[in-house]
Amino acid sequence: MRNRCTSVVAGVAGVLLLSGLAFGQGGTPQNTAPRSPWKYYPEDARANEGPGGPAPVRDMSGTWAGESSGAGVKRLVPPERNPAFTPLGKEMFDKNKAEGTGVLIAQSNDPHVRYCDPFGFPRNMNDQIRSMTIATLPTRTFVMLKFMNIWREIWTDGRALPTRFAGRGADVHDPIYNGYSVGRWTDDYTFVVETTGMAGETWATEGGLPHSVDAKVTERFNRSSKNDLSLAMTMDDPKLYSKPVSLGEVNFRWIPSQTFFDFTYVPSSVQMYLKEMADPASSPGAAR
Amino acid sequence: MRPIVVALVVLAGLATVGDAQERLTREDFIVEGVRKMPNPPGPAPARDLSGVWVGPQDEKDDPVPPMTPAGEAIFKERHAYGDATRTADLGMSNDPFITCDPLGFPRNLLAHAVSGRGRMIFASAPGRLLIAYEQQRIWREVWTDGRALPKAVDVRGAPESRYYGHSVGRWENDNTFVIDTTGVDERPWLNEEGHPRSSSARIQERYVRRDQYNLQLTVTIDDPKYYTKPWTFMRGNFYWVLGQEFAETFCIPSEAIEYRDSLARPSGIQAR
Repeated sequence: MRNRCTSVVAGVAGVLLLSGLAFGQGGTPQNTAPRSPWKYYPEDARANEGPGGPAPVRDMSGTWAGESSGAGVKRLVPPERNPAFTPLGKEMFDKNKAEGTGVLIAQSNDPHVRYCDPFGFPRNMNDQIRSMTIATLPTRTFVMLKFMNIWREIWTDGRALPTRFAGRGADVHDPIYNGYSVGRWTDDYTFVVETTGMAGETWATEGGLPHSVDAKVTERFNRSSKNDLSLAMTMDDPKLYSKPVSLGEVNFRWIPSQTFFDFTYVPSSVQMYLKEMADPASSPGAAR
Repeated sequence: MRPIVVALVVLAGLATVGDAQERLTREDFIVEGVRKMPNPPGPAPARDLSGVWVGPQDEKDDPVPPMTPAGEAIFKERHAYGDATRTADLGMSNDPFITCDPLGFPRNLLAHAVSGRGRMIFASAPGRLLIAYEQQRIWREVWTDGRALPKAVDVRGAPESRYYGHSVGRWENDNTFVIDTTGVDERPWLNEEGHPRSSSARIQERYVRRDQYNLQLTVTIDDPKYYTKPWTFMRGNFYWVLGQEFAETFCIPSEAIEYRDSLARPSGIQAR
């Protein structure tokens, strides 16, 4: 269950998604039912085929469907699973017990799986990337993620990234979950973001790749048409990796209704799930 | 002699550093932690809330009205943290925020009342106003495309209830933006005391931009399922943030649980 952190309601929404997929394929009465503007219909998003027209210039604003949205969006390239670690990087990686790699839920120490802690960046852009809404102000761009209902800000005012995250001084910044991001348009359809200063306790990927606070992650957004947006990510972290690491490529599709499911995270539900279901089922004596 | 010379040099250095740093007085602040803008405010731009605001300051709330029996029944089951007046067990709390559950709407507005430093920013996307909050780093969307609020939630054909509800908004005049919300998930508390709010509650926010730097917010609630009459839940002022920056303010569940288990419970302040 990848969406265990979400509310029970989102779980119901997931059932509705599966129902929508089943009916959508057959063109059955579900497609003729009245549409509520407050609901997301993945079959409608899937039906919005093709490029939809040229990409607007220097504009990514709006709501986009990512993978796991039911909109037929496929992930192009997953993050590297076996990057070139430095000895320290390997040591840190070996400590991270990611669920699903021969590790049961009860054995995982993934802070998101065990506590519903925020993913942090860059993991929130390559894991559970179901939908995002992008909004732009004169000096910054916001990426608002549906999964866990959190947002990132990317400064576009020409400022430099901070470089110091330890010690004392006016130029020392605290490491934070989303890091510090700056962005710029490199042409009319490509927006490049650089981020550093991410808190070291978060994982860079679902598979448990670690990162240091000095890691620099580059995102390259490319809008190739009205309906298509792609994102390629790389991480340069010489402390932990002897060469840059690919964090994968993700595709997005424009959602015509601009509406999506709600994925607000509820930690108490996670604790209840772990206590009553997942941990007992993961115990050595549990039936498989 | 040398130690005295060294001390004098050090003192001179400190004085130099001190002079280079900005010396702030109480007059430089609106309230604690909220810097005053260096110039007087200009007129409010028409139909424009964009920017980072901090508040609420000068908050005034009406008393919560009498509840219906249904409201009372829910309220009775809730034990606010540190509240010794409504519970037989001192310090026993089942506030879901203790383990970082989402505050939900409209409590997320009240949480900012702690020191008045909560920030929010308005942005826009097609057909919507977006509001991003510092507290818990969450965001809401307010539809401005003229749609009606959902008549019901959590029933067949209807949308599901949400922690932050379903919202529509409109400009009432050039300086007043009104948001109506319904369909809130009933699990979050209305406030720190644990009052309930139903999914059928209608919650209205009125943002009045008085000038360039001041935004007044009034929140009213009409929830006949749980309350005998509507009331003003909150009145407060939001001020323009100097520098227009946010802090990252996540509630981290693992840390909250560690605090509860290693400090709160052993100290006798029992929490869920």
